[in-house]
Amino acid sequence: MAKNKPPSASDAAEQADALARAISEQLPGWKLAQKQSIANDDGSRDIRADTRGPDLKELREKFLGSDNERDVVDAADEFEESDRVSVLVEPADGGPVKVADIVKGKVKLVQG
Amino acid sequence: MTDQELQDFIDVAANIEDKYAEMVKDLRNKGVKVIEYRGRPLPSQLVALLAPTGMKLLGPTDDQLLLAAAQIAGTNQDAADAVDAAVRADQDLSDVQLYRRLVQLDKFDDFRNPRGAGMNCQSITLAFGPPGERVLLAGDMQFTEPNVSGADQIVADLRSKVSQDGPYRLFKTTHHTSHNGQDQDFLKQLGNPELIVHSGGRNDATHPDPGTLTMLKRRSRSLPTMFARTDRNGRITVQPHKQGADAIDIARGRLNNFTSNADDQAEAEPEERSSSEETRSVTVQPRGQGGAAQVIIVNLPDHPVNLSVAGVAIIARPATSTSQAMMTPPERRLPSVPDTPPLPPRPQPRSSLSVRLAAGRTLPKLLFVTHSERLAANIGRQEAAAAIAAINDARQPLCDLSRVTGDGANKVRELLQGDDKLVGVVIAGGYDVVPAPIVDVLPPKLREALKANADRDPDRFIVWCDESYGDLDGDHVAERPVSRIPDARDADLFLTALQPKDLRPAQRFGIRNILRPFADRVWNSVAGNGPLQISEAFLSSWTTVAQTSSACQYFMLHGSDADATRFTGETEDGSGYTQAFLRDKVPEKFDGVVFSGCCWGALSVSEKAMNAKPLRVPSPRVAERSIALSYLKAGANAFVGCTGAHYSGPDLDPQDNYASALHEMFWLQLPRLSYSASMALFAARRFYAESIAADHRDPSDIARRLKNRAQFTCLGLGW
Repeated sequence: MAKNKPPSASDAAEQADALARAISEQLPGWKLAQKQSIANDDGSRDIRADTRGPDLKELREKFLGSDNERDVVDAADEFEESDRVSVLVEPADGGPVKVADIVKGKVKLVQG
Repeated sequence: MTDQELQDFIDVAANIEDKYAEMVKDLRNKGVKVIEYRGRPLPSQLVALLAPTGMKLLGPTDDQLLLAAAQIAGTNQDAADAVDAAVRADQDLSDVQLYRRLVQLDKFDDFRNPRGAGMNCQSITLAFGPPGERVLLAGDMQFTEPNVSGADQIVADLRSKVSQDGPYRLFKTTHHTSHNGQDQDFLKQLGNPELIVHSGGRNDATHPDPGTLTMLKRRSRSLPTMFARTDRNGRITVQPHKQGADAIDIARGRLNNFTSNADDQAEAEPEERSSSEETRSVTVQPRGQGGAAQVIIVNLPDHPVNLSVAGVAIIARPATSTSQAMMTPPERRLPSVPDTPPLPPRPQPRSSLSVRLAAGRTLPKLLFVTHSERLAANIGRQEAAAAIAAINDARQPLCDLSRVTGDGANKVRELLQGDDKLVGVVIAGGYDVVPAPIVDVLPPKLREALKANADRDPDRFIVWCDESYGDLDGDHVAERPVSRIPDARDADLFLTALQPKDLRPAQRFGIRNILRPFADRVWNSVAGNGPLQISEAFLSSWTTVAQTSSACQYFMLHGSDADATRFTGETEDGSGYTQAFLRDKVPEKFDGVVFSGCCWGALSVSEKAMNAKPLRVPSPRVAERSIALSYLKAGANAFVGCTGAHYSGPDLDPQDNYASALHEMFWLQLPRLSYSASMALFAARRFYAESIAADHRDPSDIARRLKNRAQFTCLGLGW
């Protein structure tokens, strides 16, 4: 599959409009959140962790007995095929943001 | 006001000064240094301590305090004279009659209320926070109409001083948004704060002042404004360092409600308070800077209470004990040597403590892990000793990290590896006793693949997770189940949670969001009868004692990292959240199990894992601030839930829904595993992990499932 070209500013604006429209139509009372990313309390994006969780390889070795499955995180093309667009949405009247997915034009709240 | 209400009011008012003096004395007895402000500069030591918060005490000056005091004294004399005259005329007057007679006198009908103005103009005026996030709190200060004889220029000077210390992002209106506290010019002087908060009750027709509300409304049309008010929005949490809607969180209603109490009683919303102390409180969280002090302003109820405010636990404990606990953070890696000096004796030791582990029922062989010195610092030496004795009496092995040299987690692993009869691990104590590892659930390649979506998770895929205590082979997946009994710095909670009765499922109770129909299928696996309630139709206020006493409880609702006292549902029209289950509905006695699919439902500290500061102890929540901890305090066998934001979705198919398989497997396994919640969660997580390993999914899907797998935890002694 050909690599995507970076979207132009007008493409991005159109996409944002389309997302906002889809959310207002399908999630009445919700809107696209102003901020589309979460930062640490101090504004940084550092990852401060003591340890990590298992990766797919470790899970496969443990539960399937071997690592004979293709590791999807190594297959870049599979990501591009995903139809999922994830956004942060918030109640129009104010309130905590939630994660929502837009898949094939359908909007669904997935957090909570 | 009825005669009885008025009598109650008089009784309270008559004792208020004594109670205040008693409170100050009590604080001093507990080792708190209380500084009385008399208009002079604060001690340099305190100023230095508060410097990192940007805090400044701006006023009032001693001159202003004296003028206000003189005005109050004048009204005292007027009142004394009036009482004297009334009693001479009629010696049989009751307090209530006397009060009613006095307030009708013309001399007390001065609309300027000189006594009130005198008191209001003694309000301490504080500013704090870094530039761009500054906060102004000035109590009842009458900035725009002081009405204190001779104080006009002094108050004008104070206004200038306040203005120079701005601009402010947050302003708590003064004197319950009265006309004499603020006007448009003053707001302009403050730098047109975007966040404006009113503190006051509903039964007050004149506050907020209708004219001031109109001014604020008009102003909001041209200036960015988020106006919250306790009489419409309940508890309000403000975080001035955050942007947009994140900066202000309200318990109910909508922001920018400028309606007047005087004329909109008909449309007033019903009161829904989780606790009386929640009202009229404002929480301000200046951004922490390393170990900087935080400034916390709360209106306290008139009874002893444990609070956790702005990430800081305020617990009724001897100062030495509390400060020690707060100032000796456990290392992230478990400690190698005992590092806690001996504790002073508690002032009121319990005369006798009898603790029977798991109420005497037979448990499988478990490895209990604690740090006895830290536990003693949190709940008391005698209580900690009783807990440890109970573990020993039950012949359960105990790993006391205060006696371990080297890495504590390694020691736990070594003990597990050396005894294959140990079926699980029980951590005895909160995160400040035995640290909970902070886990990045995303392997580096997956985080990279997610790109911006990694930062769209409310925890950035970083969660608190105890799994590594049960990981024997170092592959980041536990081979033994782990449960934790947090102490919440509450001996009663901890000792109760050590003694849960056997789980005897008879009835069930549950609530789900209207947009989470998958929970209906899960419900089929929950033992007992009765329907799964659906929010919004079902509200917390409808909950019955019979329901909340049910042994098996399931909540599939929204939760909040900032407020663990409520789980919320959604309105059918999507217009907002409803109060689906509030902490005050947790029964006083409970011997069942709760499974919660609510975001942060089992988070027992104030900080999300991603915001934990290196070498700083996370702030334990107290039971009064947490549904999960309240269940444990009531005697719950187990509370199972998430330490971070939970993923599920509206889909019914487990292939598309992030949570349904895990939830369902828990409830299916529970009866098969002798109603051990720890074992059932362990089995459900393994099943869920297998499905993650076996199926092809896109990165977001994998990431969310890895997070759900890691963040579910079992609180309590559910074995």
